[in-house]
Amino acid sequence: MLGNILKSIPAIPEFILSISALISLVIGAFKQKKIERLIIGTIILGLVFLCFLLLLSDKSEQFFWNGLFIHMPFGVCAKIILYSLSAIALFCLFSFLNAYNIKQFEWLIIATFSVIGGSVALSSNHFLTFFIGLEMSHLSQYLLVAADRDNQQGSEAAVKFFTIGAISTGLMLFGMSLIYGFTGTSFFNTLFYFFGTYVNDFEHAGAIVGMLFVLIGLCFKLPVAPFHTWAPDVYQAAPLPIVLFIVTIPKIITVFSLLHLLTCPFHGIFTYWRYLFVGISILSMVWGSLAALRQQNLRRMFAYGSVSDMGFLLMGPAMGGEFGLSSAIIYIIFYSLNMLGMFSLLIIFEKSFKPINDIKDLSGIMQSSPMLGSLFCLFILSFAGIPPMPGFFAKIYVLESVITRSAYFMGVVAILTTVISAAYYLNVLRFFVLSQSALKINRIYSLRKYIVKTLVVFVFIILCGMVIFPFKLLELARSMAVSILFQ
Amino acid sequence: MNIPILSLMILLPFLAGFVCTLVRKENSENAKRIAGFVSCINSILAGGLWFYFDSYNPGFQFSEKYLWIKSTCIDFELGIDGISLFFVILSVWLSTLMIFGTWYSVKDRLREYTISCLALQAFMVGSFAATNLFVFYIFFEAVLIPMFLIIGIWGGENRIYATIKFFLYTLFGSVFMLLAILKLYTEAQTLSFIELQDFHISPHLQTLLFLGFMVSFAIKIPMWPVHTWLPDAHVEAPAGGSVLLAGVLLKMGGYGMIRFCLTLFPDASTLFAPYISVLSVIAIVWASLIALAQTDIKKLIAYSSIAHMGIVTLGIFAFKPNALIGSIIQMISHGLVSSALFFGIGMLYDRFHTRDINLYGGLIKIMPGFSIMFIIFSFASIGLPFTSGFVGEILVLIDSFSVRPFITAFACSGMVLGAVYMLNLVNKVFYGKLSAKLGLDSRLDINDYKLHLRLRPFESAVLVVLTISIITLGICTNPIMTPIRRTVSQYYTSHTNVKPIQVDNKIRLQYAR
Repeated sequence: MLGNILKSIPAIPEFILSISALISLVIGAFKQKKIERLIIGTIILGLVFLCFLLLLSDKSEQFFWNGLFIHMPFGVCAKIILYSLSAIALFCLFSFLNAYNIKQFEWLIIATFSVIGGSVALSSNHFLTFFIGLEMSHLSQYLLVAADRDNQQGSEAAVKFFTIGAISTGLMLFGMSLIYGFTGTSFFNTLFYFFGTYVNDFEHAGAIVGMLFVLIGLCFKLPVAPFHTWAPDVYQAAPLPIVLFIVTIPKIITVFSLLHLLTCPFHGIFTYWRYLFVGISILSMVWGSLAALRQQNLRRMFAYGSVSDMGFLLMGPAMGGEFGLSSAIIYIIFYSLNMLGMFSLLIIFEKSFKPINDIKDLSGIMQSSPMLGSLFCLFILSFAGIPPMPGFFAKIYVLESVITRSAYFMGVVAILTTVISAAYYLNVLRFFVLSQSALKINRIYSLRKYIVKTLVVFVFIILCGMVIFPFKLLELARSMAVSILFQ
Repeated sequence: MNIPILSLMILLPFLAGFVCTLVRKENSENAKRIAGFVSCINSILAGGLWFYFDSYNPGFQFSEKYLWIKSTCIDFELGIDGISLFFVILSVWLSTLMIFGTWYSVKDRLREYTISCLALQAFMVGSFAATNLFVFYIFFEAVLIPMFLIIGIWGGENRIYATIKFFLYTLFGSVFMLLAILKLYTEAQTLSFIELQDFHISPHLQTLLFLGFMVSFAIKIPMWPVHTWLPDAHVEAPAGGSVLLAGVLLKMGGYGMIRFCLTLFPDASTLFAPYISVLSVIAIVWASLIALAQTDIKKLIAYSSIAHMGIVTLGIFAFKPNALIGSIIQMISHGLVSSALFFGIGMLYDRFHTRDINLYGGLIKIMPGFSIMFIIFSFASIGLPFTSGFVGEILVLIDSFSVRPFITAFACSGMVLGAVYMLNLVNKVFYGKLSAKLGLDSRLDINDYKLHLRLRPFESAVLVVLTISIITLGICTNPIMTPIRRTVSQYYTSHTNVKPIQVDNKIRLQYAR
């Protein structure tokens, strides 16, 4: 019965989330104290409830509102993943914002709006809906970066982020209008047939240029080289909890909507965008890892590292096929869980011991907090992709898809950049573990740590579980890939 | 016998490591005791493995299989045959000895040290017992993590440089193996070693895959042009780290060559064998010459390890059954001998805080028992008859001589050099006048020194065990020879396309005339 609700009424999850967000905004405006707990409780419960609702829902395809909005298997699965990870990310945001003296409750709601926007983008069947959803998600992020109003650097980073984001949005809109102008439609399913039929038609070359603009706009948001320039500044200057949010949720949204765009409207012109992604992924793997090698600042290093990792991920779609797409899905799940755990630990360390700007500020923490410290090491090794760690398995699925297509050059570049990235992650470990400064650092602030610690351990256990019992995850990713490839 | 003994041997150290994390910082001695106890149990299990091993069955025994990644047919498979049996035993026994041998020397962050040791033990057993290439790769790489920590935290002065070099060097090699494994998987749709044995790979592809695997193993073992990480790692590592590095980690390279390169890519191995033999001989002579010039004892032993591993690769790529058996025995013996030497050096370093050969002298007067055992180890390292070093070396050299006489002659010159540097070491450290530079208290007389410097119980126990096993292995080799021979000869009958290479026909003909 519950399953049919979603099919009969359009956009239930988005409605529920936005209504509850708006109501909590009103309540928050009038009631001053202790309102965050109520808000976060409702939002997280709502997200969990929606996950179950989506899990139960009938997954066949259904169009709403003259085909602007679509209920489809890929979107449902993507939303389940998005909501469950957002629940964790929002909870982390909630528990850490207080520690950074960012006490306005609105930030949680703005972050929720980012999730809602992504969810709209994931279930769109028209460039307009898609654009509105994606913009909503990104506008919230620009605000979030400037959350700490007293921090000049943060405001500067927000302005940079906004400017570059606006450029990318402009590019994307221009591309969409080109596509509309040359094809006469903006519906994804119509475009699918259009591009499938008139692939080599010279008259429609403008549509292909438009496609390039749209994809490049998405690459700005991901970000991958050479469109990554905002990332290091934003990561460095924004408050850490905000960074935790913007390295996970927007990335998931962008990756899923990228997969959706590539397979639904642009499927017919595979040959055109494939080489774009091959180039971008190689460039960002090499550039990202080499730049990260030179960074002194920890967060800048992670920014470049994430550029390199996103380049790694893009190899999956570039290779195409069931394996390529499902490997990208698996990679983004592992990656964002890893990021969540690692950044939460970083925040705990920063708030318990001392501010962490440079990599060498990490030294001495391991001695003071061995258990969480070793967990941090495991997360770092996981980023580096050293075998028994979860990150290795995420990488292996992508590499497998590359090797299946006999793209050996890409494979060799990918593994060499993995070695380089191991070098800078080892550099983190060098200061974190190997430095023998028996510097006893005192705790200066205590968070509501038990819940957060449990959450971090929980995240790690999920990661290990996905490694030891990968069947469900593989099945999910495979079914998602199949559902968008053969619709 | 349906006990999953191999997975038990992997899981036990992990569980013990987990228990160690619960030990409080104040009582970190307890972690050491837990580790010692569990390692003893594991050693007994390893002994049981040997006892129940059917020497006349050339296939995999104690096999286990657990479904893992179902849709891709990558399963968690374990099993041992005559080749891997002794490597499993060696790694368990040596890591047990390592825990007892460094019982007194590690004091800083003891808990983390024991956890690393236990993890290392589990990963080593796993990598030798894995019969699935993917599982093997995971364990093979995982070994790097605890070793990275052991060298990096408890190492010498330049430890961070050494450990990062070690890690990146080996990682660089093994990612190529990863690509090769993935390619193999896309070709054969399975990574189970037993199924892969019957899978025919085209010669061209074999060449590529062989190179991928070989880069990784050559760095691990290490062969001549890529050996530079080893001296650094050895010199900076603590005694226990050096023991396992030389004793077990290097053997993973040789084991991998035998298990994967020879069996899966026979054509490519034949193709590359001459080049690899040349590289091994260069390694033997070059490393021995460098060892001659060393003043740091650890560096000397490290270079001698490279020379010994050169003999191993020479034997592996001679394509003769006896040479193969010889290289396996050489690896096991080197595992015992070099780790014994590193234990000895560690004990010397604990007492005198220097590794410079020139500062030592006349130790036999004040540490007679220790000196005698150390001298036995040195002789075993030279390859004197009645020590374990002799058996492997002679088997390799005899068979290799029949295939490549010219190259092997050079390898023999390496043996002479080996005698030179080892005897030089023994001479300078143990004989002559009691050195005044050691910082010994001049007020004490010799008996007081003996009391002061005597080996503590666990230390002497470890050294005695190693001495006994080295000599036993040199005198009666049969218990380990039989299982190895059975598996190796089975390998030679099933891979009939592996023949001695014809490069030396002319020379052979000359002899015939």
